[in-house]
Amino acid sequence: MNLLSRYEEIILLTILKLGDEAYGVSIREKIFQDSGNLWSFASIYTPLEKLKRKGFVVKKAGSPSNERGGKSKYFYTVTEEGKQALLEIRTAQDKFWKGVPDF
Amino acid sequence: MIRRKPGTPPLADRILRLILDMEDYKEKSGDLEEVFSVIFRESGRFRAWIWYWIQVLNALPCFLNNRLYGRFILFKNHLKMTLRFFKRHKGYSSINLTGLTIGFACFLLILLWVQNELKFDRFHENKDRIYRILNKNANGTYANSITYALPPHLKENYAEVEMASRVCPWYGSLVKYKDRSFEEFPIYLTDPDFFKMFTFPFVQGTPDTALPDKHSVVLTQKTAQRYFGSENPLGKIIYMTEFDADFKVTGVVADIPDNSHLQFDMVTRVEWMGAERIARWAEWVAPAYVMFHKGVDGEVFNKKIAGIYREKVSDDANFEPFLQPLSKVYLYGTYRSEIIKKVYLFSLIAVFILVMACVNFMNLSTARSTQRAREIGMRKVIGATRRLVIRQFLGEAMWFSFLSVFLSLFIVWTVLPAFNHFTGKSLSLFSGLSVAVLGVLLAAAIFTGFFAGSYPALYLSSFLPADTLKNRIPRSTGGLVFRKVLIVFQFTISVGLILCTLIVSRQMSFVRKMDLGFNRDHVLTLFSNPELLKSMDVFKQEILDCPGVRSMTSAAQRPHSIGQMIPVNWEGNESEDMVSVAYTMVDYDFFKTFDMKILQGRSFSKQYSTDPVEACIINESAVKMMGLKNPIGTPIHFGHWDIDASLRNLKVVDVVNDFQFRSLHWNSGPFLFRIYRPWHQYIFVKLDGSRIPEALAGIEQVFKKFAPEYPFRFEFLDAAFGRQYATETQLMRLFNFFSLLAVTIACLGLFGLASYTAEQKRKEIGIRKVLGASISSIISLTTKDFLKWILAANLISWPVVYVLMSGWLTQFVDRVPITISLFFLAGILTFVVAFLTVFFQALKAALADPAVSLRCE
Repeated sequence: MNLLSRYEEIILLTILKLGDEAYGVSIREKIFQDSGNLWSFASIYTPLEKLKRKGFVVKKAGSPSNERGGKSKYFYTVTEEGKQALLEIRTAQDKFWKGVPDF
Repeated sequence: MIRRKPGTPPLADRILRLILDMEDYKEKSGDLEEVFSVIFRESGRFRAWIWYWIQVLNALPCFLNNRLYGRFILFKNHLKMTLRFFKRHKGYSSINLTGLTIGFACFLLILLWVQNELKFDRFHENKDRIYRILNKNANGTYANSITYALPPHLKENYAEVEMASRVCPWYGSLVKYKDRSFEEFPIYLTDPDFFKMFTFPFVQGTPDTALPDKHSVVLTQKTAQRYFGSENPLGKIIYMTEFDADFKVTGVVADIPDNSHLQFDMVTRVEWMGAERIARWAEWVAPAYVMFHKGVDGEVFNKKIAGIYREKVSDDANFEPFLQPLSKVYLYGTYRSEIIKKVYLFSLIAVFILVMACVNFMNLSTARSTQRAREIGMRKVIGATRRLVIRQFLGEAMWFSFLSVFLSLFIVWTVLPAFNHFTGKSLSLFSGLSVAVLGVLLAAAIFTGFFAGSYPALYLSSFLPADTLKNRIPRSTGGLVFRKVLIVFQFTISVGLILCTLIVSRQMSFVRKMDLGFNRDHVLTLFSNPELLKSMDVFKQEILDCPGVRSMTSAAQRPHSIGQMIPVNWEGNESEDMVSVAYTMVDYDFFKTFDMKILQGRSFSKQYSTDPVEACIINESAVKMMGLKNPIGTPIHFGHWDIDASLRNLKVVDVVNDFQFRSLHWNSGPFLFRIYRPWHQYIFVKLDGSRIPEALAGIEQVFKKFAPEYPFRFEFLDAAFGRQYATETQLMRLFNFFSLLAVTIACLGLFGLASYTAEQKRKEIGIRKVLGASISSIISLTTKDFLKWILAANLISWPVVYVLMSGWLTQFVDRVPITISLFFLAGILTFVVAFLTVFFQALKAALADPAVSLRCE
């Protein structure tokens, strides 16, 4: 069983929630909205790179925009394997929680 | 309001651009800039900059990691392919690796040797301020003996000179302490400044308290151990028979490192040479050194004192002192057969050998290109750019290069003792691997990887994928020509080295066999001592009674290395000036012992009681020089200061043949012999060649009887003679060694190319065989081509070697001619070796079944 790390999970879920609008800056902002923590870019790019290598996300260039100094945005989308991995970690989590006494 | 475009910090942007590839850069810097511009607008430029920098630095490890990861994947793949290829073609790959490894081993050996030579005398703290005083003659030659009045004069009268020390290696003495006695030679006679100038670390005592007076002595640790064992040497008294005096040990220095040109066991004061002698302006004795104050220029000082001998010695003195920097003392010597030339020569050979190894690698790699063509085609189809393929093969060459450097370290480590043995050095790998050597080695490895990999990389990456996948290997004729040029280059160097080896060894055997005018076969040399000198006549009688002894004599020098000159004058001298001639002091039977031809057969004889007082024998050159028609009976004035005045007027009693009294680097010339025993250092005994062991035993017994305290030391004259040519002998051995290696490497390359062409011609040969060609005709077809290149290589290297070696030979007065036969010998040698190398490949190709090679059409 090769589970996602928590960071990877958060990022994948965020990308899913953002739909077509998931790129570096928007992912960071969304995470800030949901968790209240403002992540550094480094802590976004590291898991993103790993997800890309594992084939759980793909990257696509958008059109260049002015506010980025004329550079394109790169949008991320979650692949089928990515979704599979998310489901996997969810079931695993449920299994682990089952039978834990109340505290 | 005009809104300025917010600029991100340029340096941070640079960094991003540097470590990220284009796509990543656009994405990441775009993201950062977007947020940056927001912060810029809200909190100002300063905060935005800080934020940007923090983000970039924070993300740096992550970015670097990403970047390297991609590289690493590719690298892992390339490594895997290299290893697979290595495994599949073990024979070829090991030939390739062997060539490179041998090349590097050679390179490293020469590097260690060169480093050792260059580091001579560098351990002295004041090395830049110390100079040796040489004597510069009018004809541009230099002599390492100066008048001993000069150094103190310089120190006293010139503000530039801080210290000065004469350093005379006195031939030796028996030294006694209690019941222990050893013969010490040489003993250095110096001034007290000696230990203050040179850095010989003191184990006991200090440089300032060493040598306070005539009766003090400084020992090396090794020597002190020999006399005193575990006792404290400081303040102990030793006795030297040579000076008949007691000496107090005032200091002990650490043992002298090998890379010092000054080598001694024992040092005492120069005053023992005689107060008068060291104060004299016109006697050339031994070397001396001076040390300047900081900031003095030796060149300028040289000019300043150029006229000093004209002032002090004589008005028409045509020689002057010359100060040579300490760093040049070992490497340049007295500017004859300089070591520095050898350093250059071998550095050049090292580079050549390394280049040959590279060439080999290129040849073999391209020769095997067929095997890799499909891999390259595949890579290109999948999307590899040409740059990527080039990078792959350069990387592969780097791998090979570094692997062979690593292997060569092991090789050098194993062969170093043997190498030391025949070069007479004591190099060590571990202490030799200095930062400089490692740096050069690393540079060489990178250079080799790059250079050796460049051609195969460019060649292989030019393949078109469509061709290679269809099994059509592009055959570029240009590439083949290039490889032929490489082979010719390799063999040019090999032929050159072989020729040099042949010529050097010819000259050396010529030197060894040359008629020197005296016979040195079976002549045993004993080292004389005061005990023997006391009772020379009785001793001689007993030696002559020993079995196997033919005759005996003694002399102040050995007949093959006599450098002393004295001024003489003779009746009928037209110019009135004294003329310098070489001379030595001998004993009766000298000419008999050395088989020299006496014109009238008179020789020195006990029949004439006046012989020791007034007889002298001169050689033919001297007769000619003096212009004597009837030499016998000519009065000669013998201008030696230290000899009693009553012994200075001689008469020629006979004439002897000319002989070579110096090494063959010099012309011999006029010579004078006389009888005078007190200064004799050597005893010569001519033995019967068939009874040497017997004779030795007898002589040792007699020696022990007369000089029981002295160790019985002997040497055959031939060995001492051989030592005169140590530099040349060493050169010859190194040449032998390196030419052998060069030929090996060249043959490896040839082998690679032969196998390549054989493979290329597989089908051609198949067709020829089907059409009825004989095996021998096919062999000649494939080998003919190669032999043509070897011929070309020979023709290129012959004139070059001729010019170079003619230059080398000019340092010998008598030399062998460079004959055409030598060139042919080298040519034939390379032909045979090359033919053998190619022959087996040709044979294999010729014997192959045509059905197999033609099947795939």
